Amino acid sequence: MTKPLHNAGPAPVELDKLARKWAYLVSMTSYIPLPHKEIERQLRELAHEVFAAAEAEPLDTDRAAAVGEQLVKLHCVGQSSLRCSIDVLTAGLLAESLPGERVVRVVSAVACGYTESVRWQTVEQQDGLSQALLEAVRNAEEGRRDSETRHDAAVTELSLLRSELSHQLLHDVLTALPNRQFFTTRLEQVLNTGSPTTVYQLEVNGLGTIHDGLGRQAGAGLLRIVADRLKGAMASRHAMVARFEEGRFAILVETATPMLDPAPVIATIDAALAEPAYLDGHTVVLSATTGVVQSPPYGADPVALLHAANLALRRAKELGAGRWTRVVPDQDDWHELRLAATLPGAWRTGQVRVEFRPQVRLADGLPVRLDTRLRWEHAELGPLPHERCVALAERTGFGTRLGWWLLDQAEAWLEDLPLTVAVPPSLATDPALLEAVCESGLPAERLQVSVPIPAPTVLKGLAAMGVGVAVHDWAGDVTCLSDTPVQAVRLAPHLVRRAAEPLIGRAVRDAMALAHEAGAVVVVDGIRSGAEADWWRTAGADLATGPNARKGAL
Amino acid sequence: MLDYLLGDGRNFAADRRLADVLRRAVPDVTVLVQVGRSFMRRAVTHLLAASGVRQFLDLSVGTTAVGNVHEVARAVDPACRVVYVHRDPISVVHTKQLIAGTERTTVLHADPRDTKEIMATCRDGGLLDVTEPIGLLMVTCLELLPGSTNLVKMVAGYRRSVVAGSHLVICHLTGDRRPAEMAALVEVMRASSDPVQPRTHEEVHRLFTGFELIPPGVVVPGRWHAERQLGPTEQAAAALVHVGVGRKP
Repeated sequence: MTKPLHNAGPAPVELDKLARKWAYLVSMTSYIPLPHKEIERQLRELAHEVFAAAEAEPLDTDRAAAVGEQLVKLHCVGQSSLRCSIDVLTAGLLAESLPGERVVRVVSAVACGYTESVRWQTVEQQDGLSQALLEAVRNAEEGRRDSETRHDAAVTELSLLRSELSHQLLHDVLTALPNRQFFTTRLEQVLNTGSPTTVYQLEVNGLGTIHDGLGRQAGAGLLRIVADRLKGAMASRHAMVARFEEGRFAILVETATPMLDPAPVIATIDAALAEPAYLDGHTVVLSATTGVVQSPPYGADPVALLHAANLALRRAKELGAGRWTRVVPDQDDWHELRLAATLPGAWRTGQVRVEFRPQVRLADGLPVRLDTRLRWEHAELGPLPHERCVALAERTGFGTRLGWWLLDQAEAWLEDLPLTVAVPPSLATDPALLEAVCESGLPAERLQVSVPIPAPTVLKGLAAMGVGVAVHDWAGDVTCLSDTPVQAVRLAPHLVRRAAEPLIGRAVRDAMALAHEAGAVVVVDGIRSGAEADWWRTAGADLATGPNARKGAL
Repeated sequence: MLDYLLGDGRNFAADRRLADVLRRAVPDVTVLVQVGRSFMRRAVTHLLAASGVRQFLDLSVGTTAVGNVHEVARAVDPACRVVYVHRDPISVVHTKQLIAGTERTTVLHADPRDTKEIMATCRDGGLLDVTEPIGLLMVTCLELLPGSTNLVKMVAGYRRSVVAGSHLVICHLTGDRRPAEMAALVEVMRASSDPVQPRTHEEVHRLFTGFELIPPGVVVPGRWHAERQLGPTEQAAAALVHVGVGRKP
């Protein structure tokens, strides 16, 4: 392409002029990524080629076409670049006095070469672009898949988090054992399948002592040890060990046969706990009290079953630490539990009231004292008497509260007669009773506090305050009468009921005689008829109460 | 679309339709694109020759068949490093095709606003030597970023991550000189996927905060180290942009 002119082409000066003009005009039409001088140089060569092609014999159209291609390579591809180039070249060729036909043919050849080249370039570029598009789509697709994977990962993470959260909701933080909620759900599932189940509710003995003696940290450590021991003991069985609250654990054992004997399981648990444990350098021996309940015979209500297990545990505790009991279903018991549970609510809403009932002297039928009594106006069951209220309150530990309240209310009933307030067992053994009596503001000399369980310290305290003491539910135990002065004893209801039986009747008479000897008057409750009153009068009873006492029917 | 306006074939029907609409609304636009490209080439050449910059980070949109930064730069010194940044995934692939087999030339798929990420990738991937001056090219770039972008902050981010001796090259659309034509251009582009945001001389000047402007400062392309006198159509088109090059002291 850099061949020197061999024909009579334009003079180099002319060619330079043409190239400058061409470069200037064409760079107006198109972006040519070269320094302007370079554009001029390259176009000068192309112009030279065109002249050479035009002057060749025969006319060299290929050479002219190559110039067209070269223009495309230089990027003289703007909208009017070709027209501009043709204008410049035609003018130059005509100036050289070349025949018009030659000029037309040579510029046509340049245009053809240019067009063909642009066509190829465009096709190639479009191809490239299509590929780019496809690849971009592929990338986007991959990106989407990646992000899905990431999303999946995120979802997995989320579900892990969720399961972690649900684990926390369903497990005890301290021991990592299932908690009550989880246990109840599992129990419900098992019961729904109808497979025989035994529920053990355990309470670790002496947890309070460990808390007090070795600190809360040690208590926590102890609970973890218990959790491990129980899990270990139950590992070979189809069982779930859960921690309820404080020192309470529960074990759910699914069995193939109904009525699995709990004794071996209890023995396993006891053995596991009995291994000495080392807590902060101290050796601790563990034990637990256990309540057992089984389904069948218990029904399939998990709540009832757990209630029963709780009841069994309570009974076992009454028997003493380290004991176990099993409860069997008892509809009445269940009913009582429900009543007991609703009592505080009923009291709060004013359904439980205080009433008084005179103690009538059997000798002359005159009232000498007033008994302060509770009465629950139950919406369905009608009025529930004092004894029932106290028994129910005792089941839930509400007795103390109720006892305080009873003493507090008694003042309103202070008439001409002295008062007797029978306090529930839980308050009777509680030194707080003295405080309650003080706070009630009742005049000591007109007050008699009746207790079912004569706790010596409490009785002495009451006596010191000048308050009269009576013992109710008295079954003839005279030891309590010899410790402290007791104003009165009230016979236990079962003795009163069965006093007509000769043997019991004799024992009752003897007991009454002993009471008199100790300086106590004898009160008999629940006298309904004159005949009963007569019997008791002759037997030696002093005072009587009964549903009709007020009416003077005795 | 720029590609089509430059007379090349690497474009889609949608680009061509838009370009035609744009060309009808603002006939100068074809020449404007050429003027812009031509300024970019001059700026790169200037940086290579006068400032010894051998690395370029090109944030400009679009890839064309010819006259890309790496071609211009490597023609002068084949040791030059060039990194293209494209937001558009097709441009990324497209540029990859163009630079296939070219050493020290890379394309990143990123948003120019993610300054830190881009600079970190360039540094960690060894794409650019951040201890040496870098030419930051923002030609046909800034006006296409969303109007809410804090350009001063973004440019400052790049400034902080390059060493002294680095250069900033900006070519930005403006309505300062021909508001009617610019309004028409904005109107057409508003309906497209790439709305543009022209800026005033003052705004463009402020982008060079922290840089020393290389004379003659922020000007029309025809006045910036022109190799030749621009023609009347070129001058008219060039009036639609401000260009400038600054050097980080």
